[in-house]
Amino acid sequence: MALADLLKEKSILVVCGSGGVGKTTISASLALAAAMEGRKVLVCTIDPAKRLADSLGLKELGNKETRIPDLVFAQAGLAPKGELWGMMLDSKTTFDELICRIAPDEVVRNRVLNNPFYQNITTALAGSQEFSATEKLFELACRNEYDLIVLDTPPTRHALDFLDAPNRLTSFLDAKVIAWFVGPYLKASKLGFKFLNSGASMAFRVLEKVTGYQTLADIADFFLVFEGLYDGFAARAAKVRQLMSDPATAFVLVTSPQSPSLLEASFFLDRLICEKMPLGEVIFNRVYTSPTNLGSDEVKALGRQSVEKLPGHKTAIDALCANLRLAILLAEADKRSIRHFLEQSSRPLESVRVPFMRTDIHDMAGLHTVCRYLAE
Amino acid sequence: MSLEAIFDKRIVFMTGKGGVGKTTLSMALAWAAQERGKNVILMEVDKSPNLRYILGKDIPVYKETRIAPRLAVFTLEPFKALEEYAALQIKVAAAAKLFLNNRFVSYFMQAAPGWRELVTVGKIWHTHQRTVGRGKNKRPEYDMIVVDAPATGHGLSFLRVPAIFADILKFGRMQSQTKDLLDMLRDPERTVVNVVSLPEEMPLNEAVTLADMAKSTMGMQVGVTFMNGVHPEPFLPDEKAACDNLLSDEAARNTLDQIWPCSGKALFDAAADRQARAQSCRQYLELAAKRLPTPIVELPYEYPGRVDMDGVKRLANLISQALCGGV
Ligand SMILES: Nc1ncnc2c1ncn2[C@@H]1O[C@H](COP(=O)(O)OP(=O)(O)OP(=O)(O)O)[C@@H](O)[C@H]1O
Ligand SMILES: [Mg+2]
Repeated sequence: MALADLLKEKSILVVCGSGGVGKTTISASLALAAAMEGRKVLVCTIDPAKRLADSLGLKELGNKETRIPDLVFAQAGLAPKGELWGMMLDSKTTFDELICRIAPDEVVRNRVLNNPFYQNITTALAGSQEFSATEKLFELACRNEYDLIVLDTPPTRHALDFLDAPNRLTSFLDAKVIAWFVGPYLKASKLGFKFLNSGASMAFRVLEKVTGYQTLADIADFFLVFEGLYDGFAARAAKVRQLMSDPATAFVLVTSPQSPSLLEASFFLDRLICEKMPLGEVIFNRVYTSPTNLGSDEVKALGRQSVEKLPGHKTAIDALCANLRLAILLAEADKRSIRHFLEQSSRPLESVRVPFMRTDIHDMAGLHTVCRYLAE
Repeated sequence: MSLEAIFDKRIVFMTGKGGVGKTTLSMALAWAAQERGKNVILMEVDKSPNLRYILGKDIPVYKETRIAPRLAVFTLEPFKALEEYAALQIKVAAAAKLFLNNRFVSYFMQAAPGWRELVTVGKIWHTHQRTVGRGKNKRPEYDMIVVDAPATGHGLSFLRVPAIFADILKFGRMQSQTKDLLDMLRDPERTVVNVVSLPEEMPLNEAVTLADMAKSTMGMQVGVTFMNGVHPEPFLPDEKAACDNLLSDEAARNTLDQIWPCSGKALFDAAADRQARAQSCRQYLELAAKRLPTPIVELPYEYPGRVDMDGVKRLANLISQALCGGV
């Protein structure tokens, strides 16, 4: 499906890619493109460039949605037919909100929220950001207030982390593990370790030896309280997963043609296919483009001719030609890696290319320039 | 701290946003240090394909691999580090294996927070403790450990975790061990954090946050910021003057337009592209000088955006020059 159609028809676009490839910029541009065409769009981002957020009038972009003011569009000479909203994900707040939602009463809620172990896992646990991103997405999707939500995923080392992290977190909080973990703690206080199964009791003794008793008590207490919440938690996680493979959802992969990120990208694609997640589009960002169709050798020959006619300008012509030939070389290298990537894929892929811009994109006009390439 | 003193530190962390060139520059710094006669080990926290690309071969995980007489590389792996640590604690390796292979323990460990970072720093600590020789010949096995830290986000938490654990752990053997780790991280004689960044907005923001976090939150010494990938001016000064001269010579430009099929515009467009890029880099460098508390070392963008071992050696040279004014 062409990107223009995705923007018209889908209700969720999940924008993935490894760090540093320009995910946030592309997400914002995708959202802008859809808003221009009349949809009510929310772009949900993790860590927007401050200059971009500022110039969009999103000074205090917090865990709640803010509408981009008309003035910002007017200044860039744009008149969107729809609405563009932005928000920034705050992992800790999202977690806390989730606990509040699934806790049966205030006592349980506070016991979780105030537990030192809980406070650590919501910020330090690998995957908590990814988890809360999908959680927030689910909540927003349930509210049904937007025609389209564009989710800019957290900056992960591997694009794959985004798919794996929520599962890892859920299994970490799994009831069976909780029972194992809390069980010996409770029993030990009454009976001593010797009545436990030997593996568990030894594991527990080792842990206590290295971490100290109070630590285990905090952890055990957390799991004890959380045990009652787990079903609610897991049920939600399952629904989130469903949402991810819904036909109204599409994944967009952003990558740059420079090879380390391309390698990541192909792993990610295979994985999406294998998980039956709907892949929409591959966006190549920061692609070197050439300002001419001439080849490097042609430039060389033309350069020689030019010097013959204008010997006084030899220094300038030589320098300009060398520079143009470098541009051609870089563009050809990128073209080759993109072609190779697309040919290697086990499935035909829709793709677009966004050139390596002269400067950073940090305002509405810049985003709109990117939109034009996305529409091609 | 003088810049040169970086080469006298025992542990040098290289940190920064994803993809800014941490691995490349960690390798370059390690190379520069071994050229200066130091015994160096490069420890990478995450296995990186790029290091293998630079070395031109695959290297095993969790095994010291010597790549030059005074330079070894080592890829950390948390489960292996945990196994090693557990064996040291329990004394009986078989019991440690039994413990870690317990179905629930391994299930739990797959997801449990923090321990990966903790054992990683623990392994670095352990490596810095190792000595060779006896009596008055006794000295550290490695003069310098260069740590290629993971991308920020978890790069920060990786150094923050010992402090978090120091908070959580009330008693126990691990509590005092964690304190040793913290002491090592916070000792300005032994340890320094360098930041790697690019002359672009987000990497610069991240570098500012990082330098600040390392210093105020974690109490670590911050060394220099490497501004990597600086696009050089495309033209030498006389070339630049000649180009300007050509631009203002209308007759000459008409001649060019006749020779070049789609006019001479491409020549000037390509030049403008690279000049704009160089200028944008200059602007961010100025901003960096204002916003960063550290000295800045500039390193050039190497076309075509991929650095091999020869490139690493060139960068190593530049680093040596910048830190010490020549080797
Ligand atoms: N000075 C430079 N000029 C051109 N390309 C560079 C330069 N430094 C690094 N690169 C290239 O940038 C890419 C990323 O570099 P590198 O792997 O060192 O980054 P990193 O920060 O370690 O990334 P990660 O966060 O993924 O570990 C590599 O392809 C590398 O060759
Ligand atoms: Mg790296």
